[in-house]
Amino acid sequence: MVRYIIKRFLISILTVWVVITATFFLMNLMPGKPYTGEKAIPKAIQENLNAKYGLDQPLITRYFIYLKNVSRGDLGMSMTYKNREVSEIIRDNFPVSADLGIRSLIFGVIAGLFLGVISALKHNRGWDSFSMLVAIIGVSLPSFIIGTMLQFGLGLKFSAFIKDLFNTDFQLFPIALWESPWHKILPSFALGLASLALVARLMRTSMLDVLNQDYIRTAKSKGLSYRTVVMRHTIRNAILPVVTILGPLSAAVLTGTFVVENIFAIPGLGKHFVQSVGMYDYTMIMGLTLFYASFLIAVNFLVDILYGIIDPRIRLAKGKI
Amino acid sequence: MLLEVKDLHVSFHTYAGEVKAVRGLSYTLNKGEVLAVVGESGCGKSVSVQTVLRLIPIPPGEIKKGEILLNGRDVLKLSEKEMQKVRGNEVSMIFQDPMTSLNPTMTIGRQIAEVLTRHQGMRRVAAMEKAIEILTLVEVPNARERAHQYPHEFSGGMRQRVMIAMALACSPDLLIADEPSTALDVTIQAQMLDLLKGLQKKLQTSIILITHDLGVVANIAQQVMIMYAGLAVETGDLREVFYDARHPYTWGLMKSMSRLDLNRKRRLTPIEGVPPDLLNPPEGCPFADRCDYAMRVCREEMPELKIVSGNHGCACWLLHEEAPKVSRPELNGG
Ligand SMILES: Nc1ncnc2c1ncn2[C@@H]1O[C@H](COP(=O)(O)OP(=O)(O)OP(=O)(O)O)[C@@H](O)[C@H]1O
Ligand SMILES: [Mg+2]
Repeated sequence: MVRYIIKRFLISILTVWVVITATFFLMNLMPGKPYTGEKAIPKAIQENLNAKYGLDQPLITRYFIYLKNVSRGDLGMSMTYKNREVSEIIRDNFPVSADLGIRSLIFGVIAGLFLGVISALKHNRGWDSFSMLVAIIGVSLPSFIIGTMLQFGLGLKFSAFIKDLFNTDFQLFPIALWESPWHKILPSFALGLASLALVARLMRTSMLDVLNQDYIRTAKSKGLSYRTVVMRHTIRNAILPVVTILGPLSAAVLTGTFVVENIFAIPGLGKHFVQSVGMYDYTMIMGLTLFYASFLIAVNFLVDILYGIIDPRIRLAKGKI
Repeated sequence: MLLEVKDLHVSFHTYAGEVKAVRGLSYTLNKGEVLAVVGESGCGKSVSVQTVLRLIPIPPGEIKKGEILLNGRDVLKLSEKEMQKVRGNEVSMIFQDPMTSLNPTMTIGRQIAEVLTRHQGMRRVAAMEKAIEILTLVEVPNARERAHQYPHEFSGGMRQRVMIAMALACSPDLLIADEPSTALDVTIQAQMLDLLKGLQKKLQTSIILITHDLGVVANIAQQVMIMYAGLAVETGDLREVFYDARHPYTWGLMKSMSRLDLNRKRRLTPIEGVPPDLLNPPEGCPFADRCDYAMRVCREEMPELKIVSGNHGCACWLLHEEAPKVSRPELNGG
């Protein structure tokens, strides 16, 4: 197990390096340069700026300087926000994105597992159809449509209705912003629904598969209660595929925050990511890409270890590598 | 009398129609005896024994008719809760494929201990100790250490020992072993049956053993039931059925066994032809189409199980007083 972890760790570091290198050179292939916005900037000033950010150096030199800085934890200054470090922007805005992402993920995974299990156990009955309807909606409607529909239905209409009824200004589902816990409900739901759908479908299939396995018949033949057969023997085995997709799923949710942040006017990191590309903010592009990549790689790393803990077969097989 | 099955009918409702897997099966088993159930693939052996524990999936399965008296109680009338107290406790079961019959994410020890905590109200630690004891009994080496391992760390033979340990944990009255050795290597098969035989002697558990192998039957069973197309065609004490077989199907099986000793490769086609489709079982004797001695009545009406002598019963028109006298063909002919 220890060797497995060390190996996975080294691979993760290598992956981060590949991401840095690829992003760095691809970014420099983009047509256009920093400070070539709509307003023409005098040549002298531009050269000054280039010198300040080291853009006058050859590409290869810049690459190695960047690597050196990154290895010391220095992501550089933003090129659009004067005097703000990229790491500072991340520090200020990421917690909001993470908050939204984690809420959605927890909501999506837990509700998805629940629906998946129920739907497999009530196979081909009302509950099953209901869960799969939810799952299909979740898979086919993108978060911006769901977000907008929620804003309209719950944020606007429902609030107006409540206001009429109780004559209060309290909003159970505020339309936008990120202030009270109430503000977090709609965006988390909008973002989490897709994960919910995915997890529910996967869990349902996996449960149905496990329920047909010989060892479930063995468990029944031992006289265990229905509850024990389901909880101890079925779910534990059925959950394995769901654990495997937790990595990619967190990636999807995390990148999905951009859209939802936009709709609900949430001050997260997504806005900066999108803007940085339009502004040719090289350091910001690099910094955010690197940050997200490392984050996702770390999540996958943890998921792999978690998987090893749940599934003894993996633990052994990989320990032998 | 430990077990008495009376006129059992079990069907499966499939898209193609009703598969009549068991069509009026009756048999009995005494305490401490071993009953071997023999028959070709698909003749309803597994279904009929799984019905004793009510393990067949319902739906698509349906127990249409019959009684299964276990120590005088009809298990088909028990509630699910009461049934759970029977499973693994009074009657337990070993399945054919040990590779897939154990939970891959739970240690062997826990899987055995689970039965004990469930039925004997043992605490986990005590149950684990007992589990190790039982593993030793079924001759798993280093039981204490092995108990903490997972199924994938065990070979097929060792897993089947674990299954046996699990089945015997609560000292059941009846152990049902559904082809316990078919999925194993030939050398390990013999070990497994020796083990079962030894345990049976020691614990005096009754066993229903399903097998394709008449050699195994001779070695371990006191009672034999030959099944064909969802029915018992011949039943009786081992000696009666082996030395005085009356049913042409039993003759065919025995002939194929003696051939099997000569040439192992031919074991796959013991008797010419295939069993009838249980979707539309024939009116008459299901074996008539493959029988060398079939008469007209055989295709028209199903023969009753007639007592030949003592415990020996056989369902064949040849036993009727008006039937031509046919004697059993020479065994070593084939
Ligand atoms: N779940 C099910 N659904 C539909 N048909 C079934 C089901 N289980 C068994 N059957 C049918 O019941 C019949 C008897 O099957 P069974 O498994 O009892 O045969 P068997 O004698 O045990 O054969 P084998 O030696 O291959 O194990 C077969 O025709 C099979 O197709
Ligand atoms: Mg079978």
